Amino acid sequence: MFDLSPIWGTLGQLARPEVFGLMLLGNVIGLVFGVLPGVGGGNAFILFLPLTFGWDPEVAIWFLMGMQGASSFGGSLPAILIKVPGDTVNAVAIFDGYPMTRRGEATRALGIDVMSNILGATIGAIVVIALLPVMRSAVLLFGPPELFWVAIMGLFTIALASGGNFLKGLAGGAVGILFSLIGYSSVIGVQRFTLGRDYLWDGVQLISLFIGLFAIAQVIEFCTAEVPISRLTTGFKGFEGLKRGAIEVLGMPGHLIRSSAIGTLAGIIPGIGATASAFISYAMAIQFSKKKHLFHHGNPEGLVAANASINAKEMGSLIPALGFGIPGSVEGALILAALLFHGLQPGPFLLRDQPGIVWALIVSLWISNVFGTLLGLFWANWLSRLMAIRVVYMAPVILVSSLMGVYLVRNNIWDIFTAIFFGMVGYGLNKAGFPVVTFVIGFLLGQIAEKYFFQATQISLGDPAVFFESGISKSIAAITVLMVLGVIWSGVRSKRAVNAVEVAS
Amino acid sequence: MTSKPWQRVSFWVTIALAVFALTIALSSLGLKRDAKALPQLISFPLLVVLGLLLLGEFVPRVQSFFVISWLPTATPGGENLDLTEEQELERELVETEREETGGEVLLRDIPWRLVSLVFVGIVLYGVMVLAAGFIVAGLAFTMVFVKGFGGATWRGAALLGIGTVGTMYALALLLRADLYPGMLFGGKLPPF
Repeated sequence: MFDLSPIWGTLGQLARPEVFGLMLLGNVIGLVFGVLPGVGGGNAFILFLPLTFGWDPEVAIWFLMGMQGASSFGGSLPAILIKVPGDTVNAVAIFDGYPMTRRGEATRALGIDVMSNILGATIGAIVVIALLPVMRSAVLLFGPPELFWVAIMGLFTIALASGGNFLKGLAGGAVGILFSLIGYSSVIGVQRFTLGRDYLWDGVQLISLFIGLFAIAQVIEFCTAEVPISRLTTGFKGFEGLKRGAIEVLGMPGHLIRSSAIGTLAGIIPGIGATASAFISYAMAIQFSKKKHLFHHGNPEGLVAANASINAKEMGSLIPALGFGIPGSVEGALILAALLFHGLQPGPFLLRDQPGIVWALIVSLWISNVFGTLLGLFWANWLSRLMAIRVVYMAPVILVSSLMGVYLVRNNIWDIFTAIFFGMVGYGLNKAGFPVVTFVIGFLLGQIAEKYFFQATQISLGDPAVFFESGISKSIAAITVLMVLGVIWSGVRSKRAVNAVEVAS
Repeated sequence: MTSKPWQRVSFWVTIALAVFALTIALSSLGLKRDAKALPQLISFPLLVVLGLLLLGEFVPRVQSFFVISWLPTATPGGENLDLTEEQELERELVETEREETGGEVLLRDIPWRLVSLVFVGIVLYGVMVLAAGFIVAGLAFTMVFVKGFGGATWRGAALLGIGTVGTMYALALLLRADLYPGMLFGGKLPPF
């Protein structure tokens, strides 16, 4: 019999006023940031993470997951109402959501949005909870050499899935790893690449890197491409049609379950972003639909497929993050950052030693999805007005608050200059087409990879053959090599196809 | 790619990354065995990857082998009759995103004056925090920024500045955290 008592225990935390209040506050912040195109819930998470310093980790998780859970609904609001996605993942919601708004069915579309968000997250949560006991025994099969390979494979998969130039993704990740090696290594017991500066003994602070690469780089981008976020406001009024839309979703179990399954799977496999999973779910919905001709013209099935997938994916991304300590996506990286920030080491030992934290993460993300969505629904009209704010007014507020947050983590004023440095690095990488996400994931993976690399070589007394001894190691290494060969092969093939078309024309 | 390699941002950023990787690779030579293992395992292959990227800047054919597209291939003319409507939309969205986030940006595409102004402004804000602390620097920066870039009135700028700094101060009080007061007001500088 499956033991559900930890879930009830975690849900019981909501009875504590400070937990409930902070989750709701997180929901509000996530919705506000999620609704602003280009800003996104991820930035809210990064900005507010330093402020949770010193909090009880479980309380901090409820607050942070509150933001994470609400932001995807926040992003879908402008996509449906004014055809401006809050985040790239919400772009698919435009296809059928906006046509529904145009024909006067905004509330029906929002009803569908709400119900598919909630049910997608719920299905994802059920899958994660069901996989948790299996995951505990599965991770025990992974020793240091296997975990080293998982970290390396994670980097390759993310470089692959980031699209564009694979080499740029890989290089970004590798540079991230190198930055993570700066400072004193407690694993090896030496200090490296500190340029003789005391400040660098503690290494590059995670929060300075995050704020720099995302918030400050975004502020520079905002100011150099100065436009209002949107000049449009929505005509959303009243709640007619909500009930109709919500009930309609229940009549589409096939689309709901398929899209949620695709989303959860996409979350589990490192590197498949929420945007890709939403598009795949949408394409599958078309394939299985009897009303193919209605897609892009306001077909509720399209909206269900997109939203259910996005929310289920958020839940699925908890599996690699919690089980292996491997960030499979930006969401996973943020969750890992939050755990590390609160002194918790993600990976197999977290599952064994800190089950309360693991349950808090799963349950809080799920509950936040539900609460955040319902809250967002009641504030839809007000939230959509935020989109008319000029970014130039938001930029200094983001900058001042984020740099103060950086300082508050450990009261070291030099950290704000590190964040500014990484802001410039992030801007340069963006302009040069190097995906910043692989840089961040590389940075997080660097210390994990070194720890397992060191442990494996200690066990084997320096014999590198240890990395190829077990079947799991060999399989992961083979998959990594095959991925690289696959990229080169697909490059050769597409080149040939283009050449053939050129010759023919 | 019709532009010269040195006209592209990616060329210079790749060189900067190569210099960084080379610095790490060379500095790690003097470390003890355990300490240099991972830096070398990463930095030397990274130099090869960056070398390939640089080569690709001159010979685009090299780069094209490593370009991944999850979208259906279009013909050189840009059209593909096999694309469905949603694939066309998907392509448009992804390409727009790629243009926004990088792609082939030329040096002349960057508004250098504006970027420098913003960046210098941010650095000056950091220096101001160092000198006068978060409250004074935050208020001054927000006001000047909103007035200078946004054309707001002094009254509006002051209101936004007070609102921002006030919220931050309240939050710091709530967290029982001390904001840096600035060297002019007795703040101590940690070792660097």
